[in-house]
Amino acid sequence: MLHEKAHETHETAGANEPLHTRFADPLPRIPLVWGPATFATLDDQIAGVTERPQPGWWWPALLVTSAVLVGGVIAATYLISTGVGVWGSNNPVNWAFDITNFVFWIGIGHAGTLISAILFLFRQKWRTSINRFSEAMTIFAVICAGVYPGIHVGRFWYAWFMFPLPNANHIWPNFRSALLWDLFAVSTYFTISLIFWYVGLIPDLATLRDRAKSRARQRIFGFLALGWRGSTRHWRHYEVAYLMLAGLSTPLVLSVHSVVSFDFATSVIPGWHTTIFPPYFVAGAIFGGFAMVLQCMIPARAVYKLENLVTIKHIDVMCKFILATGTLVGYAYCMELFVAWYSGNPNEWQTFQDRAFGGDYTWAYWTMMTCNLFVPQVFWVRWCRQTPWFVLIVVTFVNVGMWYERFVIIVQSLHHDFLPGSWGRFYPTWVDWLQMVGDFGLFFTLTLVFLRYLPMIAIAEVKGVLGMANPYHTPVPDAEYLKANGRYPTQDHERAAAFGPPSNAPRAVPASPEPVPAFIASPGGTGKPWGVVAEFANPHDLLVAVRRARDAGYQQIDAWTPYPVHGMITAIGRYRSRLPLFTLAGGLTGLAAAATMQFYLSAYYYPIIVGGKEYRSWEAFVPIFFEMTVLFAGFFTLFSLIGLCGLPKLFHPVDNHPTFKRSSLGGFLLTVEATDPKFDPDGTRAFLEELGGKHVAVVEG
Amino acid sequence: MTTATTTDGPANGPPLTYPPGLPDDVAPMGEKAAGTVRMLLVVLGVAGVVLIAGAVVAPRQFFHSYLFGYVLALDVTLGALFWVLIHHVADAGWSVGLRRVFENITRALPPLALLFFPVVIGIYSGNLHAWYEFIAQPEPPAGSHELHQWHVKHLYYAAPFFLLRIAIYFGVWIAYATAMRRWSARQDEVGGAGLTRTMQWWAPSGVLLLGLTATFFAFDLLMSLQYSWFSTIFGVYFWAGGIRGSLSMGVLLVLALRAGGYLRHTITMEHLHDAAKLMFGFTVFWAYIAFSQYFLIWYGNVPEETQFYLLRRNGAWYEASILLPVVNFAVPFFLLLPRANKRNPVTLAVAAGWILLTHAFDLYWQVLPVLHQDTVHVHWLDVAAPVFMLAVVVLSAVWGFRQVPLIPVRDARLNETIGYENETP
Repeated sequence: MLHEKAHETHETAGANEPLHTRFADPLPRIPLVWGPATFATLDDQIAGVTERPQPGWWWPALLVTSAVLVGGVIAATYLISTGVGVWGSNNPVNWAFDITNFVFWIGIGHAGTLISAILFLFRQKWRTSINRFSEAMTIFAVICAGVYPGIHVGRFWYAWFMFPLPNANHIWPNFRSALLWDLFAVSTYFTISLIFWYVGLIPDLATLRDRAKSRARQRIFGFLALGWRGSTRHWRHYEVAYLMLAGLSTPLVLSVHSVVSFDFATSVIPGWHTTIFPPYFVAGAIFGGFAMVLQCMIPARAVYKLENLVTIKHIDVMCKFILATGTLVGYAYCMELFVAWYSGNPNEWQTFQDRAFGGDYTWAYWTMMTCNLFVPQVFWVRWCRQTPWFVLIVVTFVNVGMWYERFVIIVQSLHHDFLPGSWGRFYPTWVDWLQMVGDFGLFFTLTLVFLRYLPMIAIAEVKGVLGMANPYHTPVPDAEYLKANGRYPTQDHERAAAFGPPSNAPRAVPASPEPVPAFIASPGGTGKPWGVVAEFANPHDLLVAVRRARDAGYQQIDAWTPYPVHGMITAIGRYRSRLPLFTLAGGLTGLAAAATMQFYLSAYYYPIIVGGKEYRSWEAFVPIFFEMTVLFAGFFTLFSLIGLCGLPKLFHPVDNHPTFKRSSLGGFLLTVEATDPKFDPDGTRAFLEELGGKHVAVVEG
Repeated sequence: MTTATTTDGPANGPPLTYPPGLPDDVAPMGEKAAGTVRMLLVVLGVAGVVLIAGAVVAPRQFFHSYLFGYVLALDVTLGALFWVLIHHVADAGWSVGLRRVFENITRALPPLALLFFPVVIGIYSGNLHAWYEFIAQPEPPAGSHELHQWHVKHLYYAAPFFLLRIAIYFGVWIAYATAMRRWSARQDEVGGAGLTRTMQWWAPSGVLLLGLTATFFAFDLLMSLQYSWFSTIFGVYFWAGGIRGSLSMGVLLVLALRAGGYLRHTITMEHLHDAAKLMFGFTVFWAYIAFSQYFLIWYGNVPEETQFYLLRRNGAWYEASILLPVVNFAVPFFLLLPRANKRNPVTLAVAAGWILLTHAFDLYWQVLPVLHQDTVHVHWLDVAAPVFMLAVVVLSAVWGFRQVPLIPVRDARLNETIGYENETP
């Protein structure tokens, strides 16, 4: 019966059928989670980290990172109280460590968005083990970067000059300035990343709430989870909202480092002004970001024993990304060098000759080349990708190399500009160094706090990639697990199989901690029933039950699951969410606002000539068009998600059901509401028991 | 559902064993495609005669139109090679069926290598690239503005080096395309994981070399049309166009096969929806790269760089320049944005055809202003050349469908492509 139903709802043959292998499978896919794991063990393993007492090394580590952070605070305080002269920046090198660190940290953030958004769009499901951590890293890295625009003016009480507000004499900021685009790009990036991170966290916050033993944890996570209970009606908006945010973040991440590259490339300084800068900066950012993810993830997976979730295959694939993006960055280095020669432009060639062959900063250039282009080439070799301590060494090189890349671009290009008379070198002061090191303190302090208090792996998403999460999953016999023709096709298969075969879906509903009465009263209830709750053992049983209930004529059905179960939305009789319309509306609103603001202010209200361009020239407005489009679309997506789901809903009649909180852990619950025309307290309850539901009870509204 | 015959070999190879349970008949088309081949040969013949006539009556126009049509066909074919290689790099499963289409498109590479000779003749008869005459002149006097240019360009465009480069490019492309296609066809016979792993082992180096060779091809043939102009992003611009163009070509071929009753249940709208999403993505990517190039040159306003866009502001080229982002980005963007349009064969065919057409316009806009600097002069050769070249590509692909099964029938990832369901919420 299940199969006929599937054919009715899908236009293609074969959709929704059991995932049996119809053809020879000589190269079985390696599962993403290695070894036995159930929904409950995942909760214990991941959420448990935040619940158990911190491991012994955590306090000393926090002490060290916060001491380093204090160094940064001292440097910033000294800078603000004295003036930017305390830095080594000079003339001609008027920009040095400040902007180098800014670009470095912004870049670090990009891997997080790539992993969470771009890999999501490409359905690379291995991302589920690392996306939460990387997204958190994005946010912390952007905070680290955000320090510099704030303090580099020295008089930071004038930081509001950066915002689109009139300062003196009705003068507005210059909307054709790359530095203003930076403000829009970075703040949009921070906001959207935060929204994306938070939306991803909601189901996990609900898990933490439902696992909480203490009243305080229950309240804090209950408040933050907005009353998320895993309703399929909510998942249907949630999944689309997540897709929309991924779709927005993808061009956003490209735009952010492109805008950062415009800081340099819109000038005419040799070494800065070159057309490949936008994609080159993006590739470099992802490259450096991946290195930082591994830098943090490899130790974290070891100390928290997450090798079954962040497997050696994850490290392997991330190393391939580092190899690919490192080679792309190398391609850009070579293009710059080649075109500097090919152009026949003496200024351009002078800069690159000085950079690469026998100038003051040639050592930095070759440090960059070695760390970014040559060293990562070891990742062509499998052993190098699959040996964590070795990977850790290589990614350290990459992090150093990416810092030097920005240093080379910024300092080397500036120190030999058009006027040989003003050539000069840059010498960093102790304040420069302390500020730079202090940023690492900030980053690692935030990371340590995050590891401690929030789940570092997206629990709900990992649940969704378990084999048993698919309602049609048919496990292979343990003896044939990952084998083809009786043997493992590759060493990777063998390594994965060594963790043991995966767990099978539970066949029975675990007992309730307290007896479940047939009628559950709500404190201060209306006396009328809200509906009937029934619990099922696994996604398959729930899906079958939902379809039978629909066939029996029930309409107000909802399925409550810890992750979005495939096919459940159509099973409860709903269709695709219309949330994308809100996203589109948001985008158009943002675009219209950006267009009005920039054209009105720059061409009409206070016309300013910039770079000899016309007042109404549109080109330089494009970065802000784009950023505001994405910013508004992101806000609209978040608010429409919350609105369409009817959140926050901190209290709900079903909360009184003793096992209902399993809907965010490992339980699969079905409800039929009293508003259903066919609803009858006793009849519906009997019907759900007949379907195999356990802990069936009518709850008071 | 029809079950494929179990022993029906390719046209003139050993009999193949088809796995039972395939939803469509995927045997090589053999004589069933004879009508299509005849039709394409007629198109090829007519366009070829027109081209030859054009070469006699209007040689300069002929060489420029020829280069335009040639680059269009070549970048579509290189894009197809990219899709074949990237399938293996990513260890993809859903696109197994589509991969055969792209493999067959890459069969156009050897004929295109032969068809490069007229371009060589065009260059060395002084009808195409201005650098040919520039480097032929003696060294300019010291202190002259062109001295640096001349020093660099007479090395880079020296005939032996130039021709050697071109030979290397074609060598790399043909080697990878042939190897990937042969291994794939061999796997149809033997099955197993071994050949999948071989292809996966070689594909990453192929992507790397393809990226480099395609970049320098674009520098040598397109960017050098204005030899004193330069743009470091130009290689990426060329990739973006070709990758998108080939995707459109592949989608059109699949839709044509489906319209002819083939692959109806094998490459479904679920697969095409994903292909459409990639088309959408690369539409945005093209816009991003095109805007980056234009924007930085506009902002910097350095004469050596702005010459490219200034040339394309003369006469009706100005309108053409404004039209380009509208037709090549905005229209397909909104056409492919709604989910329903991506899942509808008719709108998808319109979008794919549109993209192929506007991609041709993009190349026309890159090549022809060099010949007609005053304004747009559309010549009948501008139609004949791309028609001829695209006929070569389509004929090569159809030829492939006559020879080998329509999908890789014993691919290791067949389970993932048959009955594939698009999981996007």
